[in-house]
Amino acid sequence: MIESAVEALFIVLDPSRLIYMFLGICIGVVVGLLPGLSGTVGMSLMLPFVFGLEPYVGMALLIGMIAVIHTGDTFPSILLGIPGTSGSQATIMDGFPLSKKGEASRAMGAAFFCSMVGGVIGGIALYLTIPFARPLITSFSSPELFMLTMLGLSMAGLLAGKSPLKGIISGILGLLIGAVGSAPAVPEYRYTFDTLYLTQGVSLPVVAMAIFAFPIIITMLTDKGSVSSHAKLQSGILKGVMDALRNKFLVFRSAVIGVLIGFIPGLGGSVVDWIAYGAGQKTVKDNYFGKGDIRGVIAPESANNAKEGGSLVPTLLFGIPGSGTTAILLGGLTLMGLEAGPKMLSADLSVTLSIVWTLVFANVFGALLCMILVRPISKISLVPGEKIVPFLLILLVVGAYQSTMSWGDLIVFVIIGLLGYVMTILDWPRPPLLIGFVLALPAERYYWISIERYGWEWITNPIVIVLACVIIVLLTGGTIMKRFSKDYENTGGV
Amino acid sequence: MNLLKTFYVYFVLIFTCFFLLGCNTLEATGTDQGNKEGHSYHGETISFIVPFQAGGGTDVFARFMTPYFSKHIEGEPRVQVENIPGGASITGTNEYANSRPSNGLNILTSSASSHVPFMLEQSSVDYNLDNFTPLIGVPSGGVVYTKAELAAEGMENFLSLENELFYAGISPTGLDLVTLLSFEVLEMDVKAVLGYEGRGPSRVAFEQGESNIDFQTTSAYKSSVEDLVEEGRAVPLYSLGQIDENGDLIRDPQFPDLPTIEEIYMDIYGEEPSGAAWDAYKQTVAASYTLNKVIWVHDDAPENSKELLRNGMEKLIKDSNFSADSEEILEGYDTYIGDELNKYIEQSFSISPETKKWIIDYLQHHFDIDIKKL
Repeated sequence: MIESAVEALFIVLDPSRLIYMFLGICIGVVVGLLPGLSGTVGMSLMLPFVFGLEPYVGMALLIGMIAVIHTGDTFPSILLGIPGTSGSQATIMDGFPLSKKGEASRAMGAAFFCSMVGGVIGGIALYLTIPFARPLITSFSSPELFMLTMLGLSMAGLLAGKSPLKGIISGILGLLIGAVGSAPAVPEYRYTFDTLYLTQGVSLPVVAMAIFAFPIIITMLTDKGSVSSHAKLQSGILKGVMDALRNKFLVFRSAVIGVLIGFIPGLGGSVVDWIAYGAGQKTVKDNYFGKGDIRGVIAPESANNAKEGGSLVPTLLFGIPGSGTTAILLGGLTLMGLEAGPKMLSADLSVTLSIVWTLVFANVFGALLCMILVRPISKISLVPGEKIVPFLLILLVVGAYQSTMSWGDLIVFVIIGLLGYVMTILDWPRPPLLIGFVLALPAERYYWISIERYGWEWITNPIVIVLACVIIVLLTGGTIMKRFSKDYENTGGV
Repeated sequence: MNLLKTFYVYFVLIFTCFFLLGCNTLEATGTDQGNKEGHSYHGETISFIVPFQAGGGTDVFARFMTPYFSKHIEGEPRVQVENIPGGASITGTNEYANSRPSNGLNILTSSASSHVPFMLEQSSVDYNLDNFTPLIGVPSGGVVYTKAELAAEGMENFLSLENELFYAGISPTGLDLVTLLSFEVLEMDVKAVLGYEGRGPSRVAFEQGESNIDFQTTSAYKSSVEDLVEEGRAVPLYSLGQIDENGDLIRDPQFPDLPTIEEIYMDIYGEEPSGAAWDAYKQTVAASYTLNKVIWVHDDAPENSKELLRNGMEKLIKDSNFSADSEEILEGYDTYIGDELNKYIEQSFSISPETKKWIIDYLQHHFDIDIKKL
């Protein structure tokens, strides 16, 4: 396999293919950078061009783009408090406060460096799991997947901040919004009010944008003044990189979390940043997460790039897409005359390995490109809020409309946005709502399948019991820690 | 200096907004001049409506066809795919039927998931396939397979298994319907667990033992299941088959060695299958597989445009590049055009009231589905 890896390296480094990879990287950074445009939109834009391309070239283009979206999306999260894509919401929690203190460059330096390391770890993980992928993936049956969704949901409790009760209610609200549309297992529609638009449910980019961006826009208008209260931007990219190096274990841990969550099919990789953030909050000593702790940027940024490597395993080998982006990637594969499946490991192994290399290179180059762009782009944070709002509004509205090209998207955007604003005023945590929303469908699906298939027998399954214990420890551990740590009271707010 | 910087930021923002607006798909709404008098599509843009998200099977099919449409329709028009996802293809098909001008510049691709709801008159269906003119149709196929150890003791023994067979499916109204009806015809006792996210996850469920009887469409079967068969972990039972011009079930040309359920039934029960379930099975095979995807134009589009499009199709299927390239995407099946296509459409979508009622009752009884509420 090492020989074929070297062979694939030369294929990837062929100048005619490198150009396509750089093209993909540039598009990926722009798509990530613009709030409202997500990987799904980027992929749909490129799909018409991959038809008939040589697989190596097409893959260089598509994977180059996928790899760096979660690098580029850090800019708006840190500078404006608006998620660039739904994968960089957790970065806001500490990145935005840092930006307010005038330390945007430091935060971005750390974020890009972590994205790079995380992405490379993701690529290596993809390479290493290739021989074991089959037994690993087939070891997750529906009951285990259900317990994993429950594990994800219990993370909502960790992110609840001061009041667990508010966190729970917020999570349940998310489950409720996630229940709109056609049910996963039974053919019935819920809360669709006889509109065809709602039968598909509410789309994730719209909810993520609305719940985080909408309140910020209102605050920008009411507060006046620019985001950064300091007139001068400190240059601190190197400082950020040093911060990341000092926390190398956190970077590594978070990247592993990212790979694992991406790897498990059907779990919805879009909450990976929150889970890494929550796990970081739990394990880092003396933290002041939520108030501009650089480690609150490091954790999610390491995880969200690593996820892509993990999620390519089920996509390429089983044809199971883990996200909207990989779903379109599958279509791209077909258009280039490839078919996802075991053949990607035998006949088409060189393509798979070229994907690994592209993932690694694109992450490195993407991070470097972003670091170069830090200086010009951070000036946005000096522009007075009320002058930047009109442009942001257009971006967000077009972004929301892009998601399904339907007017319903705009209505949903405003309604969920208002909900988000009310939650900000009342100091209710918003991350649990998002986790609930994302996990609503998988949780219901796997619960239903487990019961239909096994009755109640599945509860005695060993992995299920282990996962249940982890959840209990996580939940009670959180409460106990909260009781004993007085500091926590002051820091947990979201 | 500061002022300059602010302007710089403004400029970038304005530029970005224009860029984004540019990203929006152009709609080929077609002006009044349309294509009324032109004798070719020269300089025109055809909007090709795909009622699914980008990247799905139907979308890939449409994008594959696009360059051949451009090449063979007289005047070499630009053909642009436009995705209108939602409602399992019903949203986009409704929009095509009701909101797109019938000027010959808008074409549509349909698939099994638009055919079956139309046939059963699902209430959200607001289109009538009889009001469209078909241009080209392509078949697909499917193979049902099971665990090697279950099939070891012969077909007769396998069919009489009770409480042992589990089938992992997506939804009883999609392609799963045909497979479920095949179990019904063969009088098998299969517990259908529905709700899986797609054919990929249902195949993984089979591999890990969560289900033990499954089906995959032709290309997925060839790429993912044939290996399992070679390893001795799976055994193909039958292909879902195709319906020929006479309305009879025949073996799938891609799997000439696999029997149809008709052959299995005659083997085991010693007589030809008959009755409502059998009619329903043949009807759904025709509408879901024999005509898996069809490309249409409005029936009331200008006669001249329809003629040009039809001529284009005739040239298209004679293109040797097309037949070579289509091996992968069209799974190696022959395409239907012209009179042959019309005959198949007539045969596939004209369902007898009894069969329709039987399918609706079947869905209601086994899966608690009220077709009038979908």
